[in-house]
Amino acid sequence: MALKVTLERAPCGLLKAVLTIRSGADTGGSCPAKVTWRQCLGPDFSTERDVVASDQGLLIAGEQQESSTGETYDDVNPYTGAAIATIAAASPDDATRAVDAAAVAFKAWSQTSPAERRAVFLRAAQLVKERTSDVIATMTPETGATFGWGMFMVHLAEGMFLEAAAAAMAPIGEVNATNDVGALSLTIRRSAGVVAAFSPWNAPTYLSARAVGIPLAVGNTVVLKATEEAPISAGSAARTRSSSSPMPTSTTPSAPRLSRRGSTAGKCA
Amino acid sequence: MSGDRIIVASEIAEEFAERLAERAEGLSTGDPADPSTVIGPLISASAASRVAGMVDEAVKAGAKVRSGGGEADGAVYRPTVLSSVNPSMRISNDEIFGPVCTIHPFDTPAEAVAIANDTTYGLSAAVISEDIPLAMKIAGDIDTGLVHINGPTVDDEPMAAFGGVGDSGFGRFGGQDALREFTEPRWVKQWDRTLRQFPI
Repeated sequence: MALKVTLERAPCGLLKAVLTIRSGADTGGSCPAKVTWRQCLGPDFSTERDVVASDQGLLIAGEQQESSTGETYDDVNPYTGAAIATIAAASPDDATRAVDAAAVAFKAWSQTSPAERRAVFLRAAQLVKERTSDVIATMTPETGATFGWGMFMVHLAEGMFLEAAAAAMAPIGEVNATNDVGALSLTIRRSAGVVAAFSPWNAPTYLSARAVGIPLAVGNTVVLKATEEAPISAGSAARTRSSSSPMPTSTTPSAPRLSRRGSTAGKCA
Repeated sequence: MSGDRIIVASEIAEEFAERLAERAEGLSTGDPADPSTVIGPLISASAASRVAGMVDEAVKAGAKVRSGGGEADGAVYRPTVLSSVNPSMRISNDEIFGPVCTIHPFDTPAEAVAIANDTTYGLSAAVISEDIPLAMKIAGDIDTGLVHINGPTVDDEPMAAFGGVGDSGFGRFGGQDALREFTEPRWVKQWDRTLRQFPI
Protein backbone atom coordinates (compact mmCIF):
# COMPACT_ATOMS: atom_id res chain seq x y z
CA MET A 1 0.00 0.00 0.00
CA ALA A 2 1.33 3.43 -0.88
CA LEU A 3 0.53 6.63 0.94
CA LYS A 4 0.86 9.94 -0.78
CA VAL A 5 0.16 13.32 0.75
CA THR A 6 -0.53 16.20 -1.59
CA LEU A 7 -1.55 19.77 -1.01
CA GLU A 8 -4.40 20.89 -3.19
CA ARG A 9 -5.70 24.39 -3.59
CA ALA A 10 -9.43 24.47 -3.01
CA PRO A 11 -11.65 26.84 -5.07
CA CYS A 12 -11.82 29.20 -2.10
CA GLY A 13 -8.02 29.57 -2.24
CA LEU A 14 -7.28 27.58 0.87
CA LEU A 15 -4.86 24.73 0.71
CA LYS A 16 -6.24 21.34 1.47
CA ALA A 17 -3.99 18.49 2.48
CA VAL A 18 -5.12 15.26 0.91
CA LEU A 19 -3.88 11.81 1.74
CA THR A 20 -4.18 9.37 -1.10
CA ILE A 21 -4.05 5.71 -0.18
CA ARG A 22 -3.25 3.51 -3.11
CA SER A 23 -3.29 -0.21 -2.65
CA GLY A 24 -0.41 -1.87 -4.40
CA ALA A 25 0.33 -5.21 -6.05
CA ASP A 26 -0.57 -7.11 -2.87
CA THR A 27 -4.22 -6.46 -3.46
CA GLY A 28 -3.87 -6.96 -7.16
CA GLY A 29 -5.12 -3.55 -8.10
CA SER A 30 -5.16 0.14 -7.50
CA CYS A 31 -7.93 1.73 -5.53
CA PRO A 32 -7.29 5.34 -4.64
CA ALA A 33 -9.21 6.82 -1.78
CA LYS A 34 -9.10 10.33 -0.49
CA VAL A 35 -9.41 11.22 3.15
CA THR A 36 -8.58 14.47 4.85
CA TRP A 37 -5.40 14.96 6.85
CA ARG A 38 -7.56 15.33 9.91
CA GLN A 39 -8.90 11.82 9.50
CA CYS A 40 -5.46 10.48 8.70
CA LEU A 41 -3.93 11.95 11.85
CA GLY A 42 -6.24 9.65 13.77
CA PRO A 43 -7.41 9.54 17.37
CA ASP A 44 -4.09 10.75 18.76
CA PHE A 45 -4.48 14.06 17.04
CA SER A 46 -5.87 16.74 19.28
CA THR A 47 -7.12 20.24 18.60
CA GLU A 48 -5.88 21.26 22.02
CA ARG A 49 -2.61 21.00 23.80
CA ASP A 50 -1.40 21.84 27.28
CA VAL A 51 -0.23 25.37 27.78
CA VAL A 52 3.35 25.40 29.01
CA ALA A 53 5.33 28.04 30.88
CA SER A 54 7.22 29.11 27.79
CA ASP A 55 3.93 30.07 26.10
CA GLN A 56 3.12 32.63 28.73
CA GLY A 57 6.26 34.64 29.33
CA LEU A 58 8.16 37.27 27.37
CA LEU A 59 11.05 35.98 25.30
CA ILE A 60 13.82 38.56 25.61
CA ALA A 61 17.45 37.83 24.70
CA GLY A 62 16.55 34.15 24.41
CA GLU A 63 15.25 33.96 27.98
CA GLN A 64 11.74 33.42 29.27
CA GLN A 65 10.78 36.34 31.49
CA GLU A 66 7.84 37.71 33.41
CA SER A 67 6.62 41.26 32.88
CA SER A 68 8.67 43.79 34.88
CA THR A 69 5.41 44.93 36.51
CA GLY A 70 4.24 41.37 37.15
CA GLU A 71 1.06 42.13 35.19
CA THR A 72 -0.75 39.40 33.27
CA TYR A 73 -3.91 39.05 31.19
CA ASP A 74 -6.15 36.18 30.11
CA ASP A 75 -5.78 34.64 26.67
CA VAL A 76 -9.36 33.66 25.76
CA ASN A 77 -10.76 30.93 23.51
CA PRO A 78 -13.16 32.88 21.27
CA TYR A 79 -15.51 29.92 20.79
CA THR A 80 -15.95 28.88 24.42
CA GLY A 81 -15.07 32.20 26.08
CA ALA A 82 -12.84 30.31 28.53
CA ALA A 83 -9.36 31.56 29.48
CA ILE A 84 -6.78 29.15 28.07
CA ALA A 85 -3.63 30.79 29.44
CA THR A 86 -2.36 33.63 31.57
CA ILE A 87 0.02 35.78 29.53
CA ALA A 88 2.67 38.22 30.72
CA ALA A 89 1.64 41.80 29.83
CA ALA A 90 4.82 43.54 28.68
CA SER A 91 5.46 47.03 30.05
CA PRO A 92 7.19 49.92 28.22
CA ASP A 93 10.30 48.98 30.24
CA ASP A 94 10.11 45.43 28.91
CA ALA A 95 9.87 46.77 25.37
CA THR A 96 12.94 48.92 25.96
CA ARG A 97 14.85 45.95 27.36
CA ALA A 98 13.86 43.88 24.33
CA VAL A 99 15.07 46.58 21.91
CA ASP A 100 18.31 46.95 23.88
CA ALA A 101 18.84 43.19 23.75
CA ALA A 102 18.16 43.18 20.01
CA ALA A 103 20.62 46.06 19.54
CA VAL A 104 23.33 44.12 21.40
CA ALA A 105 22.60 40.97 19.40
CA PHE A 106 22.73 42.96 16.15
CA LYS A 107 26.50 43.43 16.48
CA ALA A 108 27.16 39.71 16.16
CA TRP A 109 24.18 38.67 14.04
CA SER A 110 24.84 41.28 11.33
CA GLN A 111 28.36 39.88 10.99
CA THR A 112 27.31 36.26 10.48
CA SER A 113 27.86 34.81 7.03
CA PRO A 114 24.90 34.36 4.69
CA ALA A 115 25.50 30.61 4.90
CA GLU A 116 25.06 30.69 8.68
CA ARG A 117 21.80 32.62 8.37
CA ARG A 118 20.59 30.31 5.63
CA ALA A 119 21.25 27.27 7.85
CA VAL A 120 19.16 28.77 10.66
CA PHE A 121 16.17 29.28 8.38
CA LEU A 122 16.42 25.88 6.73
CA ARG A 123 16.28 24.37 10.21
CA ALA A 124 13.37 26.63 11.20
CA ALA A 125 11.41 25.48 8.12
CA GLN A 126 12.00 21.88 9.07
CA LEU A 127 10.96 22.48 12.70
CA VAL A 128 7.73 24.27 11.87
CA LYS A 129 6.75 21.41 9.57
CA GLU A 130 7.57 18.82 12.22
CA ARG A 131 5.38 20.74 14.67
CA THR A 132 2.34 20.93 12.41
CA SER A 133 -0.05 19.30 14.84
CA ASP A 134 1.29 21.42 17.69
CA VAL A 135 0.73 24.65 15.75
CA ILE A 136 -2.83 23.67 14.87
CA ALA A 137 -3.54 22.52 18.43
CA THR A 138 -2.44 26.00 19.51
CA MET A 139 -4.35 28.00 16.92
CA THR A 140 -7.70 26.23 17.25
CA PRO A 141 -8.41 27.08 20.90
CA GLU A 142 -6.58 30.40 20.80
CA THR A 143 -7.97 31.94 17.59
CA GLY A 144 -10.87 29.69 16.60
CA ALA A 145 -8.95 28.55 13.52
CA THR A 146 -10.36 25.55 11.71
CA PHE A 147 -8.10 22.66 10.81
CA GLY A 148 -7.76 23.75 7.19
CA TRP A 149 -6.70 27.25 8.18
CA GLY A 150 -4.13 25.81 10.58
CA MET A 151 -2.66 23.63 7.83
CA PHE A 152 -2.53 26.67 5.55
CA MET A 153 -0.59 28.58 8.25
CA VAL A 154 1.98 25.85 8.66
CA HIS A 155 2.45 25.50 4.92
CA LEU A 156 2.94 29.28 4.50
CA ALA A 157 5.26 29.57 7.52
CA GLU A 158 7.45 26.78 6.22
CA GLY A 159 7.57 28.44 2.81
CA MET A 160 8.42 31.77 4.43
CA PHE A 161 11.38 30.32 6.31
CA LEU A 162 12.62 28.57 3.16
CA GLU A 163 12.40 31.86 1.27
CA ALA A 164 14.23 33.65 4.11
CA ALA A 165 16.99 31.05 3.69
CA ALA A 166 17.13 31.91 -0.02
CA ALA A 167 17.04 35.67 0.69
CA ALA A 168 20.22 35.37 2.75
CA MET A 169 21.98 34.45 -0.52
CA ALA A 170 20.23 36.90 -2.86
CA PRO A 171 22.38 39.40 -4.75
CA ILE A 172 21.62 42.90 -3.57
CA GLY A 173 22.96 46.33 -4.46
CA GLU A 174 23.82 48.16 -7.68
CA VAL A 175 26.77 49.16 -9.79
CA ASN A 176 26.12 52.77 -10.83
CA ALA A 177 27.24 54.64 -13.91
CA THR A 178 29.86 57.26 -13.10
CA ASN A 179 31.27 60.15 -15.16
CA ASP A 180 34.62 59.65 -13.46
CA VAL A 181 35.75 57.04 -15.88
CA GLY A 182 37.88 54.49 -14.07
CA ALA A 183 36.16 54.97 -10.75
CA LEU A 184 33.90 52.32 -9.24
CA SER A 185 30.51 53.56 -8.02
CA LEU A 186 28.38 51.17 -6.00
CA THR A 187 25.17 51.33 -4.01
CA ILE A 188 25.56 48.70 -1.33
CA ARG A 189 22.82 47.66 1.05
CA ARG A 190 23.59 47.23 4.72
CA SER A 191 21.55 45.69 7.52
CA ALA A 192 19.32 48.39 8.97
CA GLY A 193 19.58 47.45 12.67
CA VAL A 194 16.71 46.58 15.00
CA VAL A 195 13.37 45.99 13.29
CA ALA A 196 10.16 46.49 15.29
CA ALA A 197 7.61 43.98 14.00
CA PHE A 198 3.89 43.81 14.83
CA SER A 199 1.88 40.78 13.83
CA PRO A 200 -1.92 40.44 13.87
CA TRP A 201 -4.18 37.59 15.04
CA ASN A 202 -5.82 36.52 11.79
CA ALA A 203 -2.87 34.52 10.46
CA PRO A 204 -0.62 34.63 13.51
CA THR A 205 1.89 31.91 12.81
CA TYR A 206 2.55 32.88 9.22
CA LEU A 207 2.46 36.64 9.69
CA SER A 208 4.91 36.39 12.59
CA ALA A 209 7.17 34.20 10.47
CA ARG A 210 6.94 36.80 7.70
CA ALA A 211 7.54 39.71 10.09
CA VAL A 212 10.85 38.25 11.18
CA GLY A 213 12.02 36.11 8.21
CA ILE A 214 13.46 38.51 5.63
CA PRO A 215 14.53 41.14 8.19
CA LEU A 216 16.65 38.55 10.04
CA ALA A 217 17.90 36.98 6.81
CA VAL A 218 19.46 40.29 5.69
CA GLY A 219 21.26 40.68 9.02
CA ASN A 220 18.89 42.69 11.19
CA THR A 221 17.60 41.72 14.60
CA VAL A 222 13.88 41.86 15.33
CA VAL A 223 11.64 42.72 18.24
CA LEU A 224 8.33 40.97 17.63
CA LYS A 225 5.26 42.37 19.35
CA ALA A 226 2.72 39.60 18.98
CA THR A 227 -0.98 40.34 19.00
CA GLU A 228 -2.59 40.23 22.46
CA GLU A 229 -5.32 38.01 21.02
CA ALA A 230 -3.03 35.23 19.84
CA PRO A 231 0.32 35.51 21.63
CA ILE A 232 0.98 31.77 21.75
CA SER A 233 0.22 31.15 18.07
CA ALA A 234 2.29 34.19 17.05
CA GLY A 235 5.07 33.30 19.45
CA SER A 236 5.32 29.79 18.07
CA ALA A 237 7.17 31.23 15.07
CA ALA A 238 9.62 33.07 17.31
CA ARG A 239 10.15 29.98 19.41
CA THR A 240 10.79 27.89 16.33
CA ARG A 241 13.64 30.17 15.40
CA SER A 242 14.80 30.35 18.96
CA SER A 243 15.20 26.59 19.02
CA SER A 244 16.95 26.53 15.66
CA SER A 245 19.57 29.02 16.81
CA PRO A 246 19.83 31.56 19.60
CA MET A 247 18.38 34.71 18.08
CA PRO A 248 16.95 37.72 19.75
CA THR A 249 13.41 38.66 19.48
CA SER A 250 10.88 43.28 21.06
CA THR A 251 9.51 47.83 20.25
CA THR A 252 10.26 51.47 20.66
CA PRO A 253 10.88 54.48 18.43
CA SER A 254 14.61 53.78 18.53
CA ALA A 255 14.13 50.91 16.09
CA PRO A 256 15.05 52.15 12.61
CA ARG A 257 12.54 49.95 10.78
CA LEU A 258 8.88 49.28 11.34
CA SER A 259 7.23 46.21 9.93
CA ARG A 260 3.50 46.13 10.24
CA ARG A 261 0.79 44.44 8.27
CA GLY A 262 -2.68 45.94 8.38
CA SER A 263 -4.58 49.08 7.64
CA THR A 264 -3.77 52.43 9.17
CA ALA A 265 -7.16 52.24 10.85
CA GLY A 266 -5.63 49.62 13.09
CA LYS A 267 -7.17 46.57 11.52
CA CYS A 268 -5.30 43.83 9.82
CA ALA A 269 -4.90 42.59 6.29
CA MET B 1 -7.46 40.21 1.98
CA SER B 2 -10.66 38.23 1.91
CA GLY B 3 -12.97 39.78 -0.71
CA ASP B 4 -15.63 41.97 0.90
CA ARG B 5 -17.19 43.39 -2.27
CA ILE B 6 -18.03 41.26 -5.28
CA ILE B 7 -18.65 43.39 -8.36
CA VAL B 8 -20.69 41.42 -10.89
CA ALA B 9 -21.97 42.09 -14.42
CA SER B 10 -25.59 43.13 -13.98
CA GLU B 11 -26.99 40.54 -16.42
CA ILE B 12 -25.77 37.73 -14.16
CA ALA B 13 -25.81 39.53 -10.79
CA GLU B 14 -29.14 38.11 -9.64
CA GLU B 15 -28.33 34.51 -10.48
CA PHE B 16 -24.84 34.96 -9.02
CA ALA B 17 -26.30 36.26 -5.74
CA GLU B 18 -28.70 33.34 -5.54
CA ARG B 19 -26.09 30.71 -6.18
CA LEU B 20 -23.52 32.27 -3.88
CA ALA B 21 -26.12 32.51 -1.12
CA GLU B 22 -26.97 28.86 -1.60
CA ARG B 23 -23.30 27.95 -1.31
CA ALA B 24 -22.88 30.14 1.79
CA GLU B 25 -25.93 28.58 3.48
CA GLY B 26 -24.32 25.16 3.02
CA LEU B 27 -21.14 26.06 4.93
CA SER B 28 -21.12 24.52 8.40
CA THR B 29 -20.49 27.05 11.12
CA GLY B 30 -19.44 26.78 14.74
CA ASP B 31 -16.95 24.76 16.76
CA PRO B 32 -13.51 25.00 15.11
CA ALA B 33 -12.47 21.73 16.76
CA ASP B 34 -15.22 19.91 14.85
CA PRO B 35 -13.64 18.58 11.63
CA SER B 36 -16.78 19.32 9.62
CA THR B 37 -16.75 23.03 10.50
CA VAL B 38 -15.83 25.34 7.64
CA ILE B 39 -16.52 28.71 9.29
CA GLY B 40 -15.23 28.92 12.85
CA PRO B 41 -15.70 31.83 15.23
CA LEU B 42 -14.30 35.32 14.75
CA ILE B 43 -11.51 36.36 17.09
CA SER B 44 -13.93 37.53 19.79
CA ALA B 45 -17.62 38.01 20.55
CA SER B 46 -17.16 41.77 20.18
CA ALA B 47 -15.68 41.29 16.70
CA ALA B 48 -18.75 39.23 15.74
CA SER B 49 -21.20 41.76 17.16
CA ARG B 50 -19.39 44.52 15.25
CA VAL B 51 -19.97 42.59 12.01
CA ALA B 52 -23.63 41.92 12.96
CA GLY B 53 -24.01 45.66 13.60
CA MET B 54 -22.65 46.55 10.16
CA VAL B 55 -25.02 44.07 8.48
CA ASP B 56 -27.96 45.30 10.54
CA GLU B 57 -27.22 48.91 9.63
CA ALA B 58 -27.04 48.01 5.90
CA VAL B 59 -30.30 46.07 6.06
CA LYS B 60 -32.07 49.03 7.70
CA ALA B 61 -30.79 51.19 4.83
CA GLY B 62 -32.24 48.82 2.20
CA ALA B 63 -29.73 45.97 1.73
CA LYS B 64 -31.20 42.52 1.09
CA VAL B 65 -30.01 39.51 3.08
CA ARG B 66 -29.48 36.63 0.66
CA SER B 67 -28.02 34.28 3.29
CA GLY B 68 -26.99 34.50 6.93
CA GLY B 69 -27.52 37.83 8.66
CA GLY B 70 -29.09 38.27 12.07
CA GLU B 71 -27.43 38.30 15.46
CA ALA B 72 -24.02 36.87 16.28
CA ASP B 73 -23.94 33.73 18.40
CA GLY B 74 -21.06 34.50 20.73
CA ALA B 75 -18.05 34.90 18.43
CA VAL B 76 -19.75 32.99 15.60
CA TYR B 77 -21.37 34.77 12.69
CA ARG B 78 -23.15 32.92 9.90
CA PRO B 79 -21.80 33.36 6.36
CA THR B 80 -23.74 36.26 4.94
CA VAL B 81 -24.37 37.51 1.42
CA LEU B 82 -25.95 40.92 0.90
CA SER B 83 -27.29 42.52 -2.28
CA SER B 84 -28.89 45.92 -2.99
CA VAL B 85 -25.98 47.53 -1.21
CA ASN B 86 -25.13 51.14 -1.96
CA PRO B 87 -21.90 53.10 -1.57
CA SER B 88 -23.20 55.24 1.28
CA MET B 89 -23.48 52.22 3.57
CA ARG B 90 -20.67 51.63 6.07
CA ILE B 91 -20.46 47.99 4.93
CA SER B 92 -19.39 49.18 1.45
CA ASN B 93 -16.54 51.25 2.84
CA ASP B 94 -15.17 49.67 5.99
CA GLU B 95 -13.24 46.42 6.10
CA ILE B 96 -15.84 43.89 7.23
CA PHE B 97 -13.42 41.38 8.74
CA GLY B 98 -16.02 38.68 8.99
CA PRO B 99 -17.75 36.06 6.81
CA VAL B 100 -19.79 38.62 4.88
CA CYS B 101 -19.70 39.76 1.28
CA THR B 102 -21.71 42.30 -0.63
CA ILE B 103 -22.75 42.14 -4.28
CA HIS B 104 -22.51 45.19 -6.53
CA PRO B 105 -23.83 44.96 -10.11
CA PHE B 106 -22.17 46.92 -12.94
CA ASP B 107 -23.03 47.64 -16.59
CA THR B 108 -19.68 48.68 -18.07
CA PRO B 109 -16.05 47.84 -17.23
CA ALA B 110 -15.47 51.52 -16.41
CA GLU B 111 -18.28 51.36 -13.88
CA ALA B 112 -16.82 48.19 -12.35
CA VAL B 113 -13.46 49.91 -11.91
CA ALA B 114 -15.11 52.99 -10.39
CA ILE B 115 -16.95 50.83 -7.83
CA ALA B 116 -13.75 48.89 -7.04
CA ASN B 117 -11.79 52.10 -6.48
CA ASP B 118 -14.49 53.75 -4.35
CA THR B 119 -12.73 52.94 -1.07
CA THR B 120 -9.80 54.24 0.93
CA TYR B 121 -8.38 50.70 1.19
CA GLY B 122 -6.29 48.89 -1.41
CA LEU B 123 -4.72 45.58 -0.50
CA SER B 124 -6.02 42.86 -2.81
CA ALA B 125 -8.35 42.42 -5.77
CA ALA B 126 -9.20 39.68 -8.25
CA VAL B 127 -10.60 39.94 -11.75
CA ILE B 128 -12.48 36.93 -13.07
CA SER B 129 -13.04 36.88 -16.82
CA GLU B 130 -12.54 34.75 -19.92
CA ASP B 131 -11.55 37.94 -21.76
CA ILE B 132 -7.93 38.11 -20.63
CA PRO B 133 -6.96 41.38 -22.36
CA LEU B 134 -9.99 43.08 -20.78
CA ALA B 135 -9.20 41.49 -17.39
CA MET B 136 -5.62 42.79 -17.63
CA LYS B 137 -6.88 46.27 -18.49
CA ILE B 138 -9.29 46.26 -15.53
CA ALA B 139 -6.60 44.86 -13.23
CA GLY B 140 -4.33 47.73 -14.28
CA ASP B 141 -7.01 50.30 -13.45
CA ILE B 142 -7.81 49.01 -9.95
CA ASP B 143 -5.83 50.68 -7.15
CA THR B 144 -4.55 47.83 -5.00
CA GLY B 145 -1.14 46.51 -4.02
CA LEU B 146 -1.94 43.10 -5.45
CA VAL B 147 -4.34 41.83 -8.08
CA HIS B 148 -5.07 38.29 -9.23
CA ILE B 149 -6.43 37.42 -12.67
CA ASN B 150 -8.77 34.44 -12.50
CA GLY B 151 -7.70 33.58 -8.95
CA PRO B 152 -8.78 34.33 -5.39
CA THR B 153 -8.00 37.55 -3.52
CA VAL B 154 -6.37 35.48 -0.76
CA ASP B 155 -2.81 34.54 -1.66
CA ASP B 156 0.68 35.26 -0.42
CA GLU B 157 4.00 34.04 -1.70
CA PRO B 158 7.21 35.27 -0.08
CA MET B 159 8.84 35.60 -3.51
CA ALA B 160 6.50 38.40 -4.62
CA ALA B 161 5.99 41.95 -3.33
CA PHE B 162 3.06 41.91 -0.90
CA GLY B 163 1.47 45.03 0.48
CA GLY B 164 -1.35 47.52 0.04
CA VAL B 165 -1.94 51.10 -1.02
CA GLY B 166 -4.00 53.81 0.69
CA ASP B 167 -5.23 52.83 4.14
CA SER B 168 -4.10 49.22 3.67
CA GLY B 169 -0.72 49.68 5.26
CA PHE B 170 2.70 50.63 4.01
CA GLY B 171 5.80 48.92 2.70
CA ARG B 172 6.17 45.59 0.99
CA PHE B 173 7.06 42.10 2.11
CA GLY B 174 8.48 39.57 -0.30
CA GLY B 175 10.86 39.40 -3.21
CA GLN B 176 13.46 42.04 -4.02
CA ASP B 177 11.25 44.68 -2.38
CA ALA B 178 11.60 43.04 1.04
CA LEU B 179 15.37 43.05 0.71
CA ARG B 180 15.27 46.79 0.03
CA GLU B 181 12.70 47.53 2.77
CA PHE B 182 14.89 46.01 5.45
CA THR B 183 18.31 47.27 4.39
CA GLU B 184 19.85 50.74 4.23
CA PRO B 185 21.39 51.89 0.94
CA ARG B 186 24.87 53.36 0.97
CA TRP B 187 26.69 54.94 -1.97
CA VAL B 188 30.31 53.80 -2.09
CA LYS B 189 32.64 55.27 -4.73
CA GLN B 190 36.22 54.20 -5.24
CA TRP B 191 38.23 56.87 -7.08
CA ASP B 192 41.10 56.60 -9.44
CA ARG B 193 43.20 59.57 -8.31
CA THR B 194 45.27 59.66 -11.46
CA LEU B 195 42.28 60.40 -13.65
CA ARG B 196 40.77 63.55 -12.11
CA GLN B 197 42.23 67.03 -11.85
CA PHE B 198 40.93 69.03 -8.89
CA PRO B 199 40.80 72.88 -9.19
CA ILE B 200 42.58 73.52 -5.87
